[in-house]
Amino acid sequence: MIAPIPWRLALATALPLAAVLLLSCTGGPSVPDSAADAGRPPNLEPDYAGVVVPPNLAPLNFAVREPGSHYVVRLSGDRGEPVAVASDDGLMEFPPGPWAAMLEANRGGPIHVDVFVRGEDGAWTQYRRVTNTVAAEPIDRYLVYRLMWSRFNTCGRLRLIQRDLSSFDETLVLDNAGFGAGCINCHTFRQNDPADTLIHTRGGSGGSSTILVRNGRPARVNTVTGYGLTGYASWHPDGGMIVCAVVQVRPFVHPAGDIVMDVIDMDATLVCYRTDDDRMDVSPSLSRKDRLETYPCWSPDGKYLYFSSARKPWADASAFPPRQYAEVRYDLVRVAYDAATGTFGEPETVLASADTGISMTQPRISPDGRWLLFCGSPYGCFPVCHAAADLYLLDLASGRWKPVAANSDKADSWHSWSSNGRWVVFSSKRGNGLYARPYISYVDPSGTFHKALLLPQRDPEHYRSFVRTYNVPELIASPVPVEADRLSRLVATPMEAESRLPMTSASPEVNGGIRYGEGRTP
Amino acid sequence: MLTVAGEPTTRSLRRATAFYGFLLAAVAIFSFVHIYRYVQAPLVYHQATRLPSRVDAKAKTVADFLVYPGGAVDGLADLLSDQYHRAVPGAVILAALVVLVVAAAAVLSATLGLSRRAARLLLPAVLLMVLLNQYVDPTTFALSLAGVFLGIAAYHGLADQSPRRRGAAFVVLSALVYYLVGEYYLLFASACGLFELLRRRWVLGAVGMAAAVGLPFAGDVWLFPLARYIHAVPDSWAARFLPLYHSPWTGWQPFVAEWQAGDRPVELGLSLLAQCYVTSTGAALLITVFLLVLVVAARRSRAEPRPNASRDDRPSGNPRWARVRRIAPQAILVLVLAILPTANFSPQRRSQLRIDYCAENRLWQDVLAEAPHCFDLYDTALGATVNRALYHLGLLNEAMFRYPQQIDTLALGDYLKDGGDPQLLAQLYFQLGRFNEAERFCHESIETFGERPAVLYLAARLNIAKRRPEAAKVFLRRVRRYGRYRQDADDLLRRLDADPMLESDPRVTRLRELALKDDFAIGNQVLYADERWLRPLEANPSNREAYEYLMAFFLVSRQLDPLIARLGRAGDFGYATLPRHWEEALVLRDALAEAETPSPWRSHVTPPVAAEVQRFLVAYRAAREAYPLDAHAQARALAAQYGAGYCYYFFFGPGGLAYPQGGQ
Repeated sequence: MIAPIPWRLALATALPLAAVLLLSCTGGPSVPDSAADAGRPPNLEPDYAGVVVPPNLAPLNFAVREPGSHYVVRLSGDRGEPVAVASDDGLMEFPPGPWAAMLEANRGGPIHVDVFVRGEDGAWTQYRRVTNTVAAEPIDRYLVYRLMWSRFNTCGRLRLIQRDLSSFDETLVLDNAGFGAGCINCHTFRQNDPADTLIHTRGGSGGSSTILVRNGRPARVNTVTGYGLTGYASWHPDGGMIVCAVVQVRPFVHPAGDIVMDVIDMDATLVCYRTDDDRMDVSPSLSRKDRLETYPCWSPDGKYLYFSSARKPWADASAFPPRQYAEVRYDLVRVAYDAATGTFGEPETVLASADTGISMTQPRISPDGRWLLFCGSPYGCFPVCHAAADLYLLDLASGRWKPVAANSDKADSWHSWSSNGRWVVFSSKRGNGLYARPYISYVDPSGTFHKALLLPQRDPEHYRSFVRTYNVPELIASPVPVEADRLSRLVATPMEAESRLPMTSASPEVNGGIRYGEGRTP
Repeated sequence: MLTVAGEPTTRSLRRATAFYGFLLAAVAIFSFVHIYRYVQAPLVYHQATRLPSRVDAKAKTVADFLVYPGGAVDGLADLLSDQYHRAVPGAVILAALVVLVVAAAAVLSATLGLSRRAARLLLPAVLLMVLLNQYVDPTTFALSLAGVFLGIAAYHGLADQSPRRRGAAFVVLSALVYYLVGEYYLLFASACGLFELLRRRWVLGAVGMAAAVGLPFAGDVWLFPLARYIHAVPDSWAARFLPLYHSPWTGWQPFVAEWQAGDRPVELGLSLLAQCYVTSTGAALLITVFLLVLVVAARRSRAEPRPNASRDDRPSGNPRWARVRRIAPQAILVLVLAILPTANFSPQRRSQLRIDYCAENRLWQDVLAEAPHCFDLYDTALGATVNRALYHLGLLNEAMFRYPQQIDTLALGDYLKDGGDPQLLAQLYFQLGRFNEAERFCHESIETFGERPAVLYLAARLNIAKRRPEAAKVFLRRVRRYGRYRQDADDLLRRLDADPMLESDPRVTRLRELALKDDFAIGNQVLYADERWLRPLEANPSNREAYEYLMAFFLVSRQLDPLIARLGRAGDFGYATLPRHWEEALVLRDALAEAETPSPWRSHVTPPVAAEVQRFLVAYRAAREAYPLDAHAQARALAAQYGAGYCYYFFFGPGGLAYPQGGQ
């Protein structure tokens, strides 16, 4: 007879599972009564010592890098129940429920980390207490980032991932396998709200595309211009307009030195996409013939558009790479915008590269409008390539600027503010110099950045052998409202895309009659 | 206990059991010999493109496998595949897998009321052998198949139960089979559904068919959408075949769209097949046919009860002839199935793989020994690998024309355009000290062709040379997942912990001395020809590899004057005598110019070489007179005697003793 087999198998499966469940429900490990004092703090990996933790962040699982045969870690705060975990290999994983309760109970206060290690001789050692601080203000719950290989000049598997920061759950936003391995190059949200989202893709089966999610409803729109495809973008706060950069981006290689792959915009300009009436236009203030304009960013009140702008030192783009590539340094520029008339004012320089000595890109303004966080690098428009790239904070009230304390000696770039302005997430290559990881830093009301903490993972050793880079991390308050499958279908569906802004169109004039597009490379 | 329908007597049961035992033993021996002698398990291991998951006995690692459908089989497959780098254990495991599948097929056959003596039981085994012949790691496939066969057998055992009980059993078995084998569940459910449909049990049949597609689809889309991504599991054949991954449409849309656009339908069709992994899809189709045959045969066997096997009812006539008639088709089928794996095996393909394997393991002599066996498959990558072996053995300019040569074998100008693996360029650039370009190609190789141990290891060595120990450790921790590399990776990790920059290692110091010093910018192209070696030579005049490759390039591109102009540097690299091909080039240059080329090395040309060049020139003139307009005929006439020399290459190319075709 065959019939009993499934039941036996079911029993055989259920029993071990029940045993595991039973074991997991037993009380936490006990902390040793006595231990020798190590006289120093423990080595933790990732370095979660002295950090400010969002009260709604997933457990900071870490590895204790000290020799020993058994490890116990106790978390305690001024309020709430302590949490203790143990392991034989030093990999400490905290239970999500008690962890969340501890953070909630200790909002605005310290939590202490006590590490006990039992040596091979059976004697316990206690390391100096590590104290972290739980911030009062939460971080936006979701983080969206591109997960990709350390890209050079090919486009392999690339995914846009959405991580729930209160847990370790990841969900897929878009996978380039769904549309013929094109590139997912930009994702932009309106003021941390994914109900209004813009995603650009390049290549793939359906051709390059722009996916506009407006009030939660996705559509593929045509933003093709005579100058190229739209890229970096910024939503006007009222949602009626998106300013996009159109860049002729070209990679090249340095055979010697620290930088391997470099990227240069041979030409760049800004264009406007009006979401309400599906229309594109261009303003002379955003598109000067002798300038490279990129990285648009609206001020939270919608009265100014900030962007990076550099003098274009080459007239002839046929020679590539141009020998002046290292002379290109971007200024921070802004133009006033009159929402009533829909017109832009004249460009005014906020910070000149001639004064700062660095190329200033990726401007992002805090939600309260007080701070402008930008990335500074020795030259060019692609700071992630430069180990010297750092984040700088400009006080828009006083005009003073300074590097932030959370910087490292490796590339720090691609930053994003939380909707309450107390957190910044950025990509940093600290750690190994090659793969960027997402770091979270608390920004206090005085604009001081606190020690950055690495995005926690369930496996404390996750990053040690992870050969993908986390690129363009963006904080959002709620999950992206469109399923990956639907986005994928939109991208994969070919679309007739005639240029919305042909080069030959009646071009606006600026600076005394220079025709827009004159001298630009098609 | 499983009963064999239609074989009630003890004697026939004994016979069946004996035959079954014999069959399994024969399959085991034949599989082991074929794999050990011909396929060679280390080459299957070498060819594997899938990064194994962490293989250890920690509860967490085991739990990682158990959290997604198919994870159990994946985990076991990783554990077994990790042993394939050793020839004997690898062959034993692979042969055991083949036996396992045959045994599972026999159980299924018996449960369906069919004879376990039928030769069709060999079909899945042959399929596995054919996959092995193509160096496709069949471990997951074999384990899943065995699980599916046993699952179907278990379900079919309930054939006479009430529909309610069968329905309940189907649900339980579905959960179990899907959990164990993942998307291979498709086979289980469709076979169960078909079985019910053939018995006119329409509801259960429809449920089975719907579940076959629905459950894996739901699993991929809703239940475990990121399991494969998190565990780095490649899309299975079922996912690609149907395609169930994320959406039933997105996988096909690119092709459908392009097909509708009417561009190159034939090429698109071919790329569509390639995209679906022809071998895997073919395997899926064959297994589906196998299952169909079993289910339909079972149906027929039930509809037409087997004649009683008792002596009284046997047909009249010559019993011996009747026996022959009964056995002959089976014997023929067994013979065909036994011959198929051997006939399907390609020694040249194995040689090609062995060259790659030996190069990765720096067995340079073996590379050269294997090269003549696969001249028919000779391509740029193979030529470049042979040249690497020649260089490491100090024979590049001494014996390179014993092997086919073309300019691209050294220049590799069209190599990437033709879809070549950038890893080869990364290896060459790394040896030359062009670390940044090596890094670029290394990463492009990983991105395009996946994480393989050799390229991960190269990435680690590159980062060590570039003084990035932490990045090197990331790759070493990755590469240590491969059993073959684990010890080396662990050793290097320990050394990096002790001395992060490895300053005390003379090989690392030597490598760093080769590094280019002056930066410049190059566009998105591969540097062509001589500049690739000139730059490193300028950066470090003692870069022997750059010098030897540059000279080899001058030979291959027939640039005799620049070659002779640089002979003066030979002394710097310790040459007391000139390599043979340089001598040939000197004499040839003199003969062509009808004057002696001024060179301090002119006097070093050995008389036998000079005489041989002269003999060649005489023979060449004679061949031209004999076949004035037929360069191929001229080449054929001279190949046997002069095919390994530079003069032959100079006039006819591509050279190579066993590769006499040519002519310009």
